Amino acid sequence: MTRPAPLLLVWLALMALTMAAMAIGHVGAATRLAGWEVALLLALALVKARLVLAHYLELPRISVWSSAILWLTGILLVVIFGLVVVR
Amino acid sequence: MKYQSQAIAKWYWFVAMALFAVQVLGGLLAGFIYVQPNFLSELMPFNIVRMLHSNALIVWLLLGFFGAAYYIIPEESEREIHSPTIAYLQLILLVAGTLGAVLTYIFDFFPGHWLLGKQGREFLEQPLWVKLGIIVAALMFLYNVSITVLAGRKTAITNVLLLGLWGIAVFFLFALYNPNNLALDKVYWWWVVHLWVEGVWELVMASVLAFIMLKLTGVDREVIEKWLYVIVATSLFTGVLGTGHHYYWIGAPAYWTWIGSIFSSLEVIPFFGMVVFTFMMVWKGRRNHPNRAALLWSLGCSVLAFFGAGVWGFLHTLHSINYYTHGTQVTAAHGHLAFFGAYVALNIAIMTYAFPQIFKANPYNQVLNMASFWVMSSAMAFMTFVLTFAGAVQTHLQRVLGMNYMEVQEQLSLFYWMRFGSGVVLIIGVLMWLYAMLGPRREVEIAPESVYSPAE
Amino acid sequence: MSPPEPSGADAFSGLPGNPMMWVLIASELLVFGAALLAFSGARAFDPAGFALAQAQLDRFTGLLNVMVLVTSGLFAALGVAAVRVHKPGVARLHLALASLLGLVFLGFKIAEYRAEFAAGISFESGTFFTLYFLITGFHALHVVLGIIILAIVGVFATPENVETGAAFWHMVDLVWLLVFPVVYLIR
Repeated sequence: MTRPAPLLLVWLALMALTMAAMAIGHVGAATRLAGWEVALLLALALVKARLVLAHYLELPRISVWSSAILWLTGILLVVIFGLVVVR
Repeated sequence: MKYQSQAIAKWYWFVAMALFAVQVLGGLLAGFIYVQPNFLSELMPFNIVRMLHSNALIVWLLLGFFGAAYYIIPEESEREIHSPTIAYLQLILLVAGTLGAVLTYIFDFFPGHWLLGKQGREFLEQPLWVKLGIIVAALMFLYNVSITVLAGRKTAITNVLLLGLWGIAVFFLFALYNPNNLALDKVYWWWVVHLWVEGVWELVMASVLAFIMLKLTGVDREVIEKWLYVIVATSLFTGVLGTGHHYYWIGAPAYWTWIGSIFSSLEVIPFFGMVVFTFMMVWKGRRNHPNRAALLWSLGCSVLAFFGAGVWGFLHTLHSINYYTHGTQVTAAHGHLAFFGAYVALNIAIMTYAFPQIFKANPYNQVLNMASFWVMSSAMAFMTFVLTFAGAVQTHLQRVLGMNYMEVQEQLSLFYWMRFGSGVVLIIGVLMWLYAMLGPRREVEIAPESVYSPAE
Repeated sequence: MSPPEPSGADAFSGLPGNPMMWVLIASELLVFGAALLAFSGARAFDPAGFALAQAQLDRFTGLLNVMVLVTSGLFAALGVAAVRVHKPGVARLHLALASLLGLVFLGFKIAEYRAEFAAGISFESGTFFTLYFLITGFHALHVVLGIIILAIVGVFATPENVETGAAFWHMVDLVWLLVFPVVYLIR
């Protein structure tokens, strides 16, 4: 188990990623999103999930739980992306 | 068998076996009426035969559960049952009620009578007086076993078993509520039907399997209890809101289609957990218990329940699929394998384990017993496949192409003949098992010391 | 009596808090995963209708709530850190702040619902809104439950209890991190 990063840094990273999602997701506008923007949003969500699991929850990296949750989340997001672009 | 009062279980199980025979004969008759629709149509119409088939099933399974409770609880609580007299009175009451229900179904002495007549609700057709009798019997039972458990050693197995048995009694109370509004009637009707078989019965199943695993494999109690809690938590988590999969087309609000689809599709998890549990325990266990037949039935129980309840349930639980398959032979396929796998095999497993103990004998007639497992399971698997194909054809012809119901039934007759054939084979299996259990004790296993020293 | 079982094969070893909480967390994640899958599947059948309905959501409040929960998660994690070094008082303070932010989340959520109800939107306004209310409503119920759990583990602030409560809270956080982009943003 790697030493968890200082929690404040993790929080800053999560907030920064949320700001990034605000820009990429055009929160203020009604425009449609391009495929790459959707993909980026979902990737950001996965990164945030990983931060929460590894640092807030301190799940050991090698833990079956951590990898199972991340893999399943990843697969879920890929399927959701597929369902978005297939329209 | 360490406690005298465990012998109470024997009498419950004898009655259960008799009703098991009635149930499968009723099934065979119903299966024959499917292919020869006019058979007995004046004497015993199909709806009566079906009532006998499904009611006898439920009652014998419940009697089996009661028997299992009377067998397991003394051993787990390390004391005799509080009152054997109450236990026998309860059995007499249940038998009287069962006979009353059967006679009412067949002869209908008091048609339409509020207390004495049959009530016409599918699966809850019993006359009101029988229902009240069942409730009194349930109260006697709960009093008796709860007092025993409270006074003795408390284990996870008895806790979960009691939770399941209390749940059975509490949800049965909704059988008394019969509103005039048909949609409302169905909403609460499922609180008996669904919350039994996909809720509290699963708790009974998990705890009985845990007891058998504890005895047969010699794995630590602590390990078994952890599994038990995981299985119970997931079955309640998915099963309670999973009730929504019965609310799709009965007039309930539309959001139930989503709640039902989402939660019920996860109902497979506890059944998968039970498969992993039983196989892990056998794999980890160091003990070679001589009762191999009980082990086979336990493993078969978890596997067939996983397929019958889990996989075959998932097949048509999503509302977008159920829109087409609702009430077709797909449901019949699922119902047959689920009940056989989850609850019939469970009862057979505990009886197969306990009978030699009750008779203070070494395990006997095991080859015949195990052969009966393969005969019954193959027959039931074949029946399930046949009905699934019938259901797929029916769905397409009737729901997609819009053909008339009776025209479609004509098209399915080959499947129905094959189903009848598998029913005949199933009955041969049942008779083999009954003979193995009750017949002369041959091929007796020479037991090593460990048989009568249960693991802790 | 058999010899004690080696516990090396125990799937729950190394997890913070009570193992039963992890059974619950796994079940919850599966349910929300299935719900988001159902939502995306339904959207694939009716992208235009979903886009039209989604435009009526208040994306900004949804985003604000991400920040609220992420910050709240920070306090829950700090609470765990404090209780581990035997500072239950500090831990309680952090848990209280985490709960307070949970209430802020609920406040925003209620304001959002009120605005939607005022605009004539309800549970029955089409598949999008049925699923939107189901998913976000179910999540909000978990926030309520999480606040109650945090209060309980705050009172009985042993390391194991606080870890258990915080694990639930982080799960609630994690779910919203996934719900927000899928339900509010993607179009």
